[in-house]
Amino acid sequence: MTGRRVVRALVSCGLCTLLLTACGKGRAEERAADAALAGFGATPYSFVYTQVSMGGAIAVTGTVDDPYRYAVRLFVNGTAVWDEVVVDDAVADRFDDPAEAVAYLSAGKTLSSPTTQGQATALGALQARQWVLDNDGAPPLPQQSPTTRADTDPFYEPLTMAGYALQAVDTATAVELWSPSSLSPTYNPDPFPAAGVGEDRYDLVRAAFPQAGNFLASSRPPPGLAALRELAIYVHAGHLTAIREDVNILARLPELVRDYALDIPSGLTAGAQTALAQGFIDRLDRRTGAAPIEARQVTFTVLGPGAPVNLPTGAISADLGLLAYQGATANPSLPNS
Amino acid sequence: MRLGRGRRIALAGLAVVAALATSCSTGAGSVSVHAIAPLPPGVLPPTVAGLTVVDEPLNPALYPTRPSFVDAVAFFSLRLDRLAEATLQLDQLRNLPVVRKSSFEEEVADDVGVTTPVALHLDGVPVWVSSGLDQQLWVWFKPGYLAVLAVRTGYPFPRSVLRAALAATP
Repeated sequence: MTGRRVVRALVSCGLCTLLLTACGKGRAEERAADAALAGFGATPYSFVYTQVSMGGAIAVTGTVDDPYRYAVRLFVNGTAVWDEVVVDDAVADRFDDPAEAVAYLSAGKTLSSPTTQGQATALGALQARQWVLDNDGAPPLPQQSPTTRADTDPFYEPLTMAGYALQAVDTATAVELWSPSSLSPTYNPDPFPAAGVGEDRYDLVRAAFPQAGNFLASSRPPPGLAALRELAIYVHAGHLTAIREDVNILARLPELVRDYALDIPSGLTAGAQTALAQGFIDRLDRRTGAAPIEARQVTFTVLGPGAPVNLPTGAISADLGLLAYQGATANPSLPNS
Repeated sequence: MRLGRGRRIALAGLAVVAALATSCSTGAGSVSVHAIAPLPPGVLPPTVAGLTVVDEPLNPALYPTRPSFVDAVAFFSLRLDRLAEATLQLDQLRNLPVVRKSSFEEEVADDVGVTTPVALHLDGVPVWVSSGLDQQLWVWFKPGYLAVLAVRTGYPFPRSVLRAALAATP
């Protein structure tokens, strides 16, 4: 073999190695994040979920024995509002703050007017801060419900957060292992806290905005959630410890202005700019029928197992079908599995 | 709601066929056709979650003519009065390499029901849940056994049946 051939062979090998390395970049990270998310929930856990958006702040705390046995509590702007306990086929609910609960849940179409005497009994007891038990009214399994359930059930997303993050991994451009010394961090500025000691943090690389291609600015498809959000998955020894999401439409303003000819008047506050950009995204989504995207910050923190979940004692038996996704007859078209 | 005779037969037949015909998706090239024995009586308690357990005779026509992973099988109806609210099929699995494959359980679960199965962990047991025609289906594996539980959609306490069946099956 001549010297030139050797050089050519070595260059080819080097190129192959580079290509293979490039193809493999992020795959191990994606597998590690996927494994932690897919394995989540095999053992009991408790959690804290917070969501801050333009609509306000909600939090949900919960203890989950398994997908059919859990206890959750909703806080709205810091006030405990609603408790729910599901044990197999039975569900029990209590309004901690009846006035706030009725206002918040009615506005979100979570609570509807009673249509039966049993539901009227339930509403009366809930307004009196009593536990109400519906023996066969447990909501459908969240993991089998459509994602639109999140629109009317504030417990849906906290109970399916690992699945939500799995889908986010699928739609992300890549998954990268966060490092404090990285010269090219995934997020800059970084909206999330550093990984803890012994903890790995996997950052999802945002998808690109739709390419100009043949689109005029006025007809370009909306950017989609994968292009607008930043999401980090925290894992310790293979186990999920936290998920953080930041849908920061304000940070994407330069791209929106560049690609969609969005006109932002000068002198607006950050809040006003966010509202304007949010309105623009909403119009884009409505035009194309895409799922609405909301600017928000979500934190889901996994804690150790809580006390075993049991139904409350002394509850009043009634029909909880006035709450969305609950009651034996509330959603006859949905499998109660 | 009471099931008609035809509906009840369909409920029973679906679970049996689905679980016995697993060879279609698990690539059982070396698995032979062989006789399947009934499981010995008394494998389940007399009642499960308040429902009476009735050992149903299996129709020989349902026995596989293709290779099967099953050595022995039992089929039960779970009845309230005379009405079958649920069925439970219990299969004793053959000790085959393909059965020990990590993907075997998921592939079998995939063959049962008409919706994509969702994997859960209940009482330490991996369980797959899916839906069939007017029924909810759960599939689980314990060492050497496969169980398929079908509960009709209108029955108000399906998860209680599942929980009790999980505890009762070997």
